[in-house]
Amino acid sequence: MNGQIYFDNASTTRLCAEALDAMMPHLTECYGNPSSKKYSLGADARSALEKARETVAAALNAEPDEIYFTSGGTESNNWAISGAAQKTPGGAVVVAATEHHAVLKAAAAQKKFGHETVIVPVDGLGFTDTDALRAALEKKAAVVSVMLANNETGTVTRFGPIEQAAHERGVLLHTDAVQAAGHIPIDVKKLNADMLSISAHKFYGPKGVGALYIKRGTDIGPFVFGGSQERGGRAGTENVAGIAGMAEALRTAAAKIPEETERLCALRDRIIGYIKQNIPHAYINGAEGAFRLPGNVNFSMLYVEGDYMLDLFTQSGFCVSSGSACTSGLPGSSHVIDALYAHSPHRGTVKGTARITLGRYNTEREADALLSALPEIVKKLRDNLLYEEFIKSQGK
Amino acid sequence: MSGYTEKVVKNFTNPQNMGEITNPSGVGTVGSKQCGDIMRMFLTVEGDVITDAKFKTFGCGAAVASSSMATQMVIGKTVFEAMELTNMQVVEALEGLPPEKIHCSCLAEEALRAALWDYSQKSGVTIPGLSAPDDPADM
Ligand SMILES: Cc1ncc(COP(=O)(O)O)c(C=O)c1O
Ligand code: FES
Repeated sequence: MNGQIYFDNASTTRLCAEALDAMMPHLTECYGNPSSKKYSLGADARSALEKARETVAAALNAEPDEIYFTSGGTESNNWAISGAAQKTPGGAVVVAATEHHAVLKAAAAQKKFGHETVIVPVDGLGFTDTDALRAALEKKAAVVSVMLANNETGTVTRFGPIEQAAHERGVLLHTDAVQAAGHIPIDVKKLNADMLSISAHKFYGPKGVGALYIKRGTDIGPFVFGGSQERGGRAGTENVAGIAGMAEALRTAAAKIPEETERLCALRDRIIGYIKQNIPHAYINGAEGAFRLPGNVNFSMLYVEGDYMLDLFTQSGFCVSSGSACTSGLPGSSHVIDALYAHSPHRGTVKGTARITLGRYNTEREADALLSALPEIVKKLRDNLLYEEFIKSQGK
Repeated sequence: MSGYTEKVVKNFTNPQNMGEITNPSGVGTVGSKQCGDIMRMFLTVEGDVITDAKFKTFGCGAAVASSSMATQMVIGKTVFEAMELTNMQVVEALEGLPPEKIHCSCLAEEALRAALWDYSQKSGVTIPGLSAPDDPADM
């Protein structure tokens, strides 16, 4: 009851020991600047950096010279969108409705440079509407950005048709793989995206470091101006410790994917099964099985106050999230959930949404604790004015 | 831990006076412009003393805690004294609310005033300073 159980692994994850070990030398004795190659302190930092690049590349089946280090997922997304947009004057930025704000707002920021944003709808499970994407691409476009896995619903994109649609029209394709990397296998050669974003803190690495994969031969503009770091694309002395930590974290996470997928999917599906069977007027948001991230549970309860839902989970000892608490005026409403419900009979119905995301350090006992706490939480949530009126209106 | 004081947590995990009063002396429902949440308060008045108060809400933990506290504070008071209760007194009794949750305590104050208004309309007792509440349907 008193100890907090951390079920918010889509928000961030605990640093793994492997990453910390890889970082420590660079936070202590190996403090050289990677650009100072003449003496060994600098040369060592440089070689750590290039080793990390190789490790990250290997985990994604990319080439080392296709990996550019950044300050995280947000920066990678911003670079991809703005860097691509500026190469096609007047071309639209085409994004899925369920993208992270780091993509949506980066797209919106291109308007002042003459790039309109086109938002492609998704279906009820969160899959991007490929017909709508094709229709959008009949006009001139600069870049398409569709995420590999959604941070709120855990829906894993069927990437093939999106890749075809973009490349048939010769449009650059970016994917935000921040939630996917280290959790599901990624092979950039199979995906054939032109750019792909990752962020270390989502796969048990440190915060404030990420990477942008840019396929060889892809011409996008630079993002940060200054020195010649990251081949002039992203100037600034590199975060060597963070980058070394990210590389180790990614290597470790990628190696654990088979076992972790099996373990987390089992826990996930137990929780999902419980919700489906035992909570009336509750709906699982997102896709199922292999098209859902292993640790993601996201559900909405009709006629439940979103903030109250979080308050009760927190007080019962669980760190969960509402999906996107801070994004819009009304508590509990999120652009992702709204996009999924656009064609649902429950569109516009008041609902509370909770996202429970399991990770490497969660145990079966913790999942059991959640299942034992849920009935009391649900009972309290349902004891409210609107649900009562709804039940009365149903003639029960 | 959650930005809530122990008192707040106690009052929303184990709220007092949550429920309804059948045949109340006064009942009022209000809505929040900020978050769209709703609060309904019921009063039983004998003589001019509030002998029972209950609430039902569609609101967050802070709203539940505020009305749990507000109902406890007005029981035993006269309707004139109850009229003086402010949301900040409720917040004080709860030993504080996070700044973004102050508006939730306003729901308790406004619902109480709406119930008092209903009572004064039904009973013909004039409560100085009281005016008709906003219609929640307008918000
Ligand atoms: C899908 C997605 N994209 C981008 C980001 C932003 O990443 P970062 O926190 O590293 O800037 C996040 C995490 O918040 C995310 O979930
Ligand atoms: S957020 Fe609406 S009552 Fe607290």
